[in-house]
Amino acid sequence: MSIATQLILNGIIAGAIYALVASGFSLIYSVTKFMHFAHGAVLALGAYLMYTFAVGIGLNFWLAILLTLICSSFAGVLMDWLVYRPLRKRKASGAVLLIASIALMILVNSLILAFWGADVKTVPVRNPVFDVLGARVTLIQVIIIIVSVVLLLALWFLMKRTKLGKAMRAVADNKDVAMTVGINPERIYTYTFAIGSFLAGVAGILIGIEQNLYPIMGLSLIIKGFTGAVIGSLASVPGSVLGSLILGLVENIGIWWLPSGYKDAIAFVLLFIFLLFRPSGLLGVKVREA
Amino acid sequence: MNRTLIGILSLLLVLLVACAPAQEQKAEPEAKPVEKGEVVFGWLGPLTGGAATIGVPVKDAVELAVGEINANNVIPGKNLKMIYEDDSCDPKKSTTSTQKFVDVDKVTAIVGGLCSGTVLADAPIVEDKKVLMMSFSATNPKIKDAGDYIFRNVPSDNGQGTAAASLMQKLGYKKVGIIHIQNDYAVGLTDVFKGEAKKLGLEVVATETYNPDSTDFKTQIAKIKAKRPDALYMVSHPADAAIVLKQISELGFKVPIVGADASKDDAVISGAGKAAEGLIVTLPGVPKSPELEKFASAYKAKTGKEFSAYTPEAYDVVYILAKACGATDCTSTAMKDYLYGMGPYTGASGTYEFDKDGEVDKPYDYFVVKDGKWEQYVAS
Repeated sequence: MSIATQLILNGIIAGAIYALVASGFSLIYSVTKFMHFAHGAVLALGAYLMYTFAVGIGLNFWLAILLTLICSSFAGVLMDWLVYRPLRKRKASGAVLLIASIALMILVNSLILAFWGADVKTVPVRNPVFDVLGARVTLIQVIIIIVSVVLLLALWFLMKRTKLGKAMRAVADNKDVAMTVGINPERIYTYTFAIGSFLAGVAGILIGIEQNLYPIMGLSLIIKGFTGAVIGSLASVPGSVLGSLILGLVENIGIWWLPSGYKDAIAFVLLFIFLLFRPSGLLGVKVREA
Repeated sequence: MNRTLIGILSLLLVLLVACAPAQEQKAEPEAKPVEKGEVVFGWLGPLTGGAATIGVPVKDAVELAVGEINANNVIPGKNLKMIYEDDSCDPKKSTTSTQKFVDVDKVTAIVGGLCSGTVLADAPIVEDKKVLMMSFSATNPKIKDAGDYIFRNVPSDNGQGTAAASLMQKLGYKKVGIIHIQNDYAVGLTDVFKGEAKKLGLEVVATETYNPDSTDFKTQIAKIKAKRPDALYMVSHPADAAIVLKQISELGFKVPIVGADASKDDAVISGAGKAAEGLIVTLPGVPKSPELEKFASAYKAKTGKEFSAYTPEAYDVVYILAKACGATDCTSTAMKDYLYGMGPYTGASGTYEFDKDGEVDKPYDYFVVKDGKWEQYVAS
């Protein structure tokens, strides 16, 4: 019995980690309609900033978190201002923006490598272990699960209930119509990147503590987060969180029977199945191309 | 009128700037003494990814050797130039770098690769182009047959797998589990280990693997834990070894662990913390010698750190290749023939000689993590 609970719990923890990555990624996608893969790099940057503030400079833990979140938000906004906005002004296609985002990711990864070096870094925190129905889970893992649920609710509230969320949805639906009612899309994009990158900062702090820090940590995470988002629905934050949880569970329960080397294969088979048969994802609405 | 004046002035300025360095360049060759020839080697290893914590110090040791060789004129009349390429221990990247080495840089020899997978992938390229390649750390048994131009100054994992299995038998374990990274190095080593374990009457009850760059091993660990082994054999790169150890402890799996050479890294201790305590690893032996002490103090003077796994071997490789270059006409083929008949070489990593397959024979050392530090371990 304890093995079954441990497996499900492992799946939920993995899913929650993917959800932390996927939520910000799909928030940005839903509004700007392009894939911001550098989101993974912002996440890694967040983890390293947290390390620098908390371990390097030795600031108070909560102050370090606050500073990290502010800096992550700003890093995302800066990426939008310096790279994506000039490209949008030139009416660059989605493919160009996608390639720009991959280039940005490589750039930031290399900068992290140059500044912090290649060795593995850790943010030491007290991390007690609990027994839950015969399975074991650490405090950080519990926090990761709780935060991913809270984020899901908060983002749902933001998109459906606030003025900013409504404006974001309006820009997402039709930029030109949104402009005619007085919404400035560029400003909405800035807010979107700020909130999305804030989420990357949250993910970076938690995942950095859980799994240690290394420069390319964002790459494998963004691939899994993207897979989770496609399964749920790229353009819907609740969908991407749901998809991430499904991905984590399927991967971890799948390798109980299959050899564990197939873990990534399971994820990508799932990705292809969804891309082929349900590209809009579980919660997505079918969109007919005009 | 004014604009013409500014135009003429700026033209003059441009001419002045353009001419100044040209004059300097002309003067330079006269000032220089006799022009030295140049021999180019390539270095291949991971500066990024899970094995970067091994690759970066190794690069320092190689830089140290190159500096000494040039300062002491080890290759008479020639200056040694080393070109460094990062392969992340990824065979896809390393073949690209090796192609560049042989086609663009036209290197005489390659120092590396660090990982078995990259050496095996690069071997057909260097064999085809007849370029010498010498690894200081790739231990997969298959490298023995990789080609005439492929050498290494570390022993094959046939020895390491045997050393680990007999240690575990000596410690009284009956049932062992295995967790390893999915690459040529780990697959080759665990195959040897399994064969030897069978001979010694050890039962392998579980073998779990994970892909490079993975960070979540909890389900693999839970699967092994369910089989209740007496001990665990772990073949991992430093970055993942740290997380494997951390998650083993988080899952409350109390099991003695024996690891392989790639886990003998400070990053494992700093990354895993208390969870690394008691980890025993096998490492190709580097016996105490005046040569080793000389290397250790020079390495410390350069980097401010104690030397780490495979830095003495890499330092030796540069010296051996420089020696071969100096003793021959410094072509890959002549150097290769020289190495096969070189006889015993004494360097920082011990005294050894290359056999007909370009392999060396060395003993193994054991290390254990005690109070957050690596200590020599004596199997009683």
